Amino acid sequence: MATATSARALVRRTTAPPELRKKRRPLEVLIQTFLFACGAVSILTTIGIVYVLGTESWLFFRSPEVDLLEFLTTTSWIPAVGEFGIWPLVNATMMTTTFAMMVALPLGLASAIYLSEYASSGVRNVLKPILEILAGIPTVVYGYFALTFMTPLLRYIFGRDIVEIYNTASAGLVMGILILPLVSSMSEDALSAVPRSLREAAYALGATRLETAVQVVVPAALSGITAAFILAISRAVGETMIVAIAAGAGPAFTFNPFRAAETMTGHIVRISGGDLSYDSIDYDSLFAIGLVLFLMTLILNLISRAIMHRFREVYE
Amino acid sequence: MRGGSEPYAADRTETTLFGEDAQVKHSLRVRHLIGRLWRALFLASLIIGIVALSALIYNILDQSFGLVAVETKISPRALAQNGVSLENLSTEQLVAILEKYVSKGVLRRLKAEQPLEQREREELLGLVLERVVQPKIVQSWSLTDSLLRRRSIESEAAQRYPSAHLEFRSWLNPNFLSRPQSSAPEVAGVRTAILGSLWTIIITILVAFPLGVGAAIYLEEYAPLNPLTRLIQININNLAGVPSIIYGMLGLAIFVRALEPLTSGAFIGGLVDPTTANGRTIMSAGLTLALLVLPLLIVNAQEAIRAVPGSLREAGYALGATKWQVVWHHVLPNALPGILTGTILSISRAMGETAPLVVVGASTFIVYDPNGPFSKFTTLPVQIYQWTARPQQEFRNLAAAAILVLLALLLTLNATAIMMRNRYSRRLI
Amino acid sequence: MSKLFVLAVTVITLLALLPTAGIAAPPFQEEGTQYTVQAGDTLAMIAEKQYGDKMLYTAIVYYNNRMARLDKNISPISDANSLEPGWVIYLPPAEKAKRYAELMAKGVTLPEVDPLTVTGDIISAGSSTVFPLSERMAERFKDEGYQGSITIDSIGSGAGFERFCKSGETDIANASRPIKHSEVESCRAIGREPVEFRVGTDGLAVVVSKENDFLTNLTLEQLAKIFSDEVQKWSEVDPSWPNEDIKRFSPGTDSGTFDFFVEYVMNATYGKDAGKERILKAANLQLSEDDNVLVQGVMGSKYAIGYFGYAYYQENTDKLNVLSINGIAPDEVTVEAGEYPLARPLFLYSTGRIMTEKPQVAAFINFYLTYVNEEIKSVGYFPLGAETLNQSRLAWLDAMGQ
Repeated sequence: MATATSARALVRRTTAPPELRKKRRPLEVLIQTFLFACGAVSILTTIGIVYVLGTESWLFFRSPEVDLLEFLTTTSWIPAVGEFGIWPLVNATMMTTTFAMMVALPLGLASAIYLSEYASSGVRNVLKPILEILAGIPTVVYGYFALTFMTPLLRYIFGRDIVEIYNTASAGLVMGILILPLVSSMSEDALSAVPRSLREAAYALGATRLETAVQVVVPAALSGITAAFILAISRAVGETMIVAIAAGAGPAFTFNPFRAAETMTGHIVRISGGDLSYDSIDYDSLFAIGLVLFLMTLILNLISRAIMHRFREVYE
Repeated sequence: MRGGSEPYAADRTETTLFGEDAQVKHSLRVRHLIGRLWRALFLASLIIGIVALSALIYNILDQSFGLVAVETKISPRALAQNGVSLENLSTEQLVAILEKYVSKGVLRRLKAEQPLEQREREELLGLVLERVVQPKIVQSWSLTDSLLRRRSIESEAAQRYPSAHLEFRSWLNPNFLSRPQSSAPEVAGVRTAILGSLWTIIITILVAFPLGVGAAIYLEEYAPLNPLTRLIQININNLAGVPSIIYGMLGLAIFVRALEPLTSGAFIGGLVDPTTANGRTIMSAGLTLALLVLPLLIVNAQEAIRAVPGSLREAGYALGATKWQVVWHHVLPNALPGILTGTILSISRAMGETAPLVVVGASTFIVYDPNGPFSKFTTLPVQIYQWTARPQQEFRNLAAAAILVLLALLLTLNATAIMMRNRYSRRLI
Repeated sequence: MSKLFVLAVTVITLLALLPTAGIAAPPFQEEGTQYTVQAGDTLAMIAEKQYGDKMLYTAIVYYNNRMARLDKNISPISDANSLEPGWVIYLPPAEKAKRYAELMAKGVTLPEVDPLTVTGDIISAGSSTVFPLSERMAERFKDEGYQGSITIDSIGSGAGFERFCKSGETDIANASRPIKHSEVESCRAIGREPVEFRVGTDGLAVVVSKENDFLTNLTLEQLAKIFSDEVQKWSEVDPSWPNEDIKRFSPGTDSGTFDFFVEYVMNATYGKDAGKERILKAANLQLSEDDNVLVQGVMGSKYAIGYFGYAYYQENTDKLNVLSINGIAPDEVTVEAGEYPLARPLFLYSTGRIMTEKPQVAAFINFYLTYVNEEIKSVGYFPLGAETLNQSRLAWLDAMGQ
């Protein structure tokens, strides 16, 4: 700003020829306004979501059977008998997300490094779109895959008595597979975008390919990789059909990954698709769950942003 | 790397800048060993990912093809008259069969279309086979079983369905693509769903792509560093984690209810049927999905734009280009591969969504083709979801075939984006 | 400048989001009279007193039960022989009573529909259980020449009633549970007077895994006990059964199947309103909205037990065993005759006004009620008995004012 004003002052003082004066460019202003409007759409979306969730949640929290303190502190969610403690649902969401991240983040990043730093461009050009298109398989299919393939596999490995037919581990692992393409594809983009000069500098110093990849390219691409990770975690928290089918449909407060537990999204989709009347408290409760979910992802995002800022490296 | 480093080693004298030669050689060996080890690990990760996803695809393929046991309601042999087989019966005889077996209502419709007597013999024979013989699939087997245990399937079928015959069926076939939905798995198809999916996705992309790229350009190139920008940025990341069903509720409140005149087509008089004006149209669905994929698109585009070196921009400015000229001619072309990745991921995501569309109002049973953005609709995932929930195995076969259709559709839709990305994707200097 | 723009857009969006005002409700017309049951009353006596013909008691039962759906002050009569003093029941006007009794005795035939002459849209939404049946009927309707377009959304009974009663955008609501009084109220608030058509029955199969070798029959009390928090292990229900944890599988709390089970099994044993808590507090209880998922669950363990729609058992007879209840196995005969205790009704709802204004809706429901029994078995449900079907057809005639 400072340079702009002084430059303008300079122009005025020297009475330069008119064609050098800053032109009014209405098109530029128009474009900028349009671009701002594009950014603002996301704000409007959020306002809409908060409005929709807020008004219905208000109905829920206003009803005499619900107490906000109880909602946030107790560990039993049985709406049919008036027990509303959000923790079983939150806990199950965190467990499935953790499992998904255990699969998707390391495998996704490692695949991305391989694709970007080792694989030939032919391999990359074929594998990458294939992985991405798999993200288009309806998640209900992944859900059945978890139930009819992953769960039996886990039961075979760990024993039928230990692993229940619905369990958070199976749902989480398959969710990891679902998210894997997202992580690997976005990370690969970020790694590929690191200027070649950086790699060449590292090689010139005698670094091996691994050292270059891990100590130079990955840090340089960290911003993009973190963005991929944040999107992946957000997607896992919000994923619905897999957990609805494979994680179980009864809210349960358990830390055992081989037991069934219903996640927040699973509960929302189950109640909204059922035969329950729309003017029951059970139905209102799902908006409150949605609001909590919204706040949870918000906090998650704030934390990951803070981390990203700390480790981000900017190269030219 | 290794091959390249050896000639240098030979040239070196006993002691180098880096210490004793033996020491250097040893540490080099170790470093290369570690390098190879990790390389193997990275490859293994990729392979694990591919194997897991292949298992998924295998599961789908396994259900899409296989042996089926077909039973007929009335066997063609029973319809033969005086030793003349069904195929060789005369027109009059075929009409008589139709009159005898086909229900009154269907007969009335057929006659209204064209009197039976005036129809071709071939056509009548087709009708008899479809309406009277009525082949019905009583059981289906997976592809693996059909290939590996054919013998035991044959004996099982002979025992359980003595009147049935076995045949190999590809659930994915031309009829499946060209027919509308049906309650009978033998004749059900996905025509309406394919058209609905295409219409929806086109609207989604038309809306989401410019909005998403525009927002990304604004945030990366124009936005001042102030709390509002930070808010928008956090907000976008946050929206990526909102469960899709909540977008459905949002779409219901905004597009279906509040903007009904717009989304039902009433504002341009495009109403399909004035008695059923409501906003549960392709338009609403497309807009809802656009909001859903917007964060994914924006974040990808932002990362791509951020990765364009500042030197490119500065070169543009130095030549006197305006901001928009720099963005349009220098930044965007270089950021295109990343933007396209976001687009591909978004299209894939939007194509596979079920829950928000059910809330917005995708119909589960609908047999007429959508005729524009303002008609009622169904989409492939909605059909797939509905079929997987049915008790009969045959519907799950249909679901698997529909998934293959969906994947093929995705591949075609994304082909342009993939090719463009491969073309523009080059390492920046 | 751009900030002003954002502000304007925000304000417009917020304004657009405000709920639209409700439509004023027209007065609801009532026919007939309310009657409070006195000590010692029987239905025959009331019919005699009211109409001078004690055989008209069947008409009272029919009309009263229809009205009881709509008005929570009216007691439904489940058994014609047991009336309790203090109940408020609803008596039809004399000429209607005569007509009802007559039609029910000789059977109702609806005016014949020719789908070839029917055009216009039909929009329906609701239960995913009723969906396959409605889909089949709609397909047949089209097959016989219907030219208009019909859509059916499978979204659950609750959401189906929401679209029917609250936003008033559908012509027909499919439901696998009766309409609730609160839903009737919101229907009336937008000027809709729901009419109920029973179209079929979904048998509930109580199933165990093929590996299970100790169960073939249960009494209703045993079944309630098995699904309650009173017991943990099989041996606590019957000492001869294994000393293992019971693994329970049930449709979700939001499903009509669950409500039905609670009402007819749990509440019957533990008392009204107590059953729901007993089942939900039971250990090892797995709920799922998707019956295929329950099938997988029950198959998974020798000590598992579950219940769900009979069609899902039918498709998995090689993996599951169905149990008899009180010695009666579910099959077409026992369900149709009402002997098998776990059978759940399936309904369509519409209104007389919609049916008059959109004749295609009336024609479709007519067609549905005429041919449903020919098609219902192939989708895995049980046909209605002649008497129940008659009552549905009667409701159609009434709604059309015929």
